[in-house]
Amino acid sequence: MAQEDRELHRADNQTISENRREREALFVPRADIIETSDSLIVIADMPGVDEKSVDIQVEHNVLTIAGRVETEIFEGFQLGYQEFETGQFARQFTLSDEVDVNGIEASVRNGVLEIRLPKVESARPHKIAVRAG
Amino acid sequence: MFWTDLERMMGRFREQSGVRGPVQGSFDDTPTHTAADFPAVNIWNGAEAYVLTAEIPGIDPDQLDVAVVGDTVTIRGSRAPLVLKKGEVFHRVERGYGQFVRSIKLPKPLDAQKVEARYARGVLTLRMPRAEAEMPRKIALKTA
Repeated sequence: MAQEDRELHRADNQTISENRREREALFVPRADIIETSDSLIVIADMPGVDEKSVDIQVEHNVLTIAGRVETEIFEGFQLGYQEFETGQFARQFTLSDEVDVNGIEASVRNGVLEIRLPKVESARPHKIAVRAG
Repeated sequence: MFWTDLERMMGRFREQSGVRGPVQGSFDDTPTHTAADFPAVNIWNGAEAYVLTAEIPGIDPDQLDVAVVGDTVTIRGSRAPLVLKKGEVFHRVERGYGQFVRSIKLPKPLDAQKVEARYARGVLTLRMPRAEAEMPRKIALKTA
């Protein structure tokens, strides 16, 4: 048996069987936050998540994003080498009073979650016209 | 910010959280898996093929290139940076962008013609049959 084959089997016996016994892994998704004139945009990397497996909630000005990734099963294949685990993504952000909670919109594309949080009208910039004296 | 910066950050995150520790004993004969290896891959062994999955969120499939030569598969791609319009500001930048390339050596040669690639939900899945000539063959014994 080739050296690589032995390595594969060793990885299978040690790392993976141990991982499977552990409780489901929890990950904090990396996120970018952008402020525009009329809204805040949260963009989070959640590979493996789609619109059916993502959950977004706002409660007491806390935005919670969560997503579950089912472990893929390939019939007739055995996991031989593992660098990443799948499980649950979760993260919370505290919102200011400036956010219009009722206007929040979200979408998921290619494992990236994008949430648009519109600002309440009073928090948007208003241009004040200055009259000549 | 380049993808390698993201990986350094991810490495720190992995160390802190302890949920994704570095894998000992790498597939391609490097002594240990380091955080600089992007994308992270899982590899599944079958009797006649391998399946490789890689987490690459937010890539335009047109910007993803998979090449197979012999026993090595190379994944190459890039993620465009977010461009702010006038008046927009970043409050937080954790996600990486830029170019990445990673080559993974499999234990046996692959049939490059039959490799299937699928990109869904930010996960790349490659089905890579082993080369026909390298398959185990049952030899019939002739009786004298």
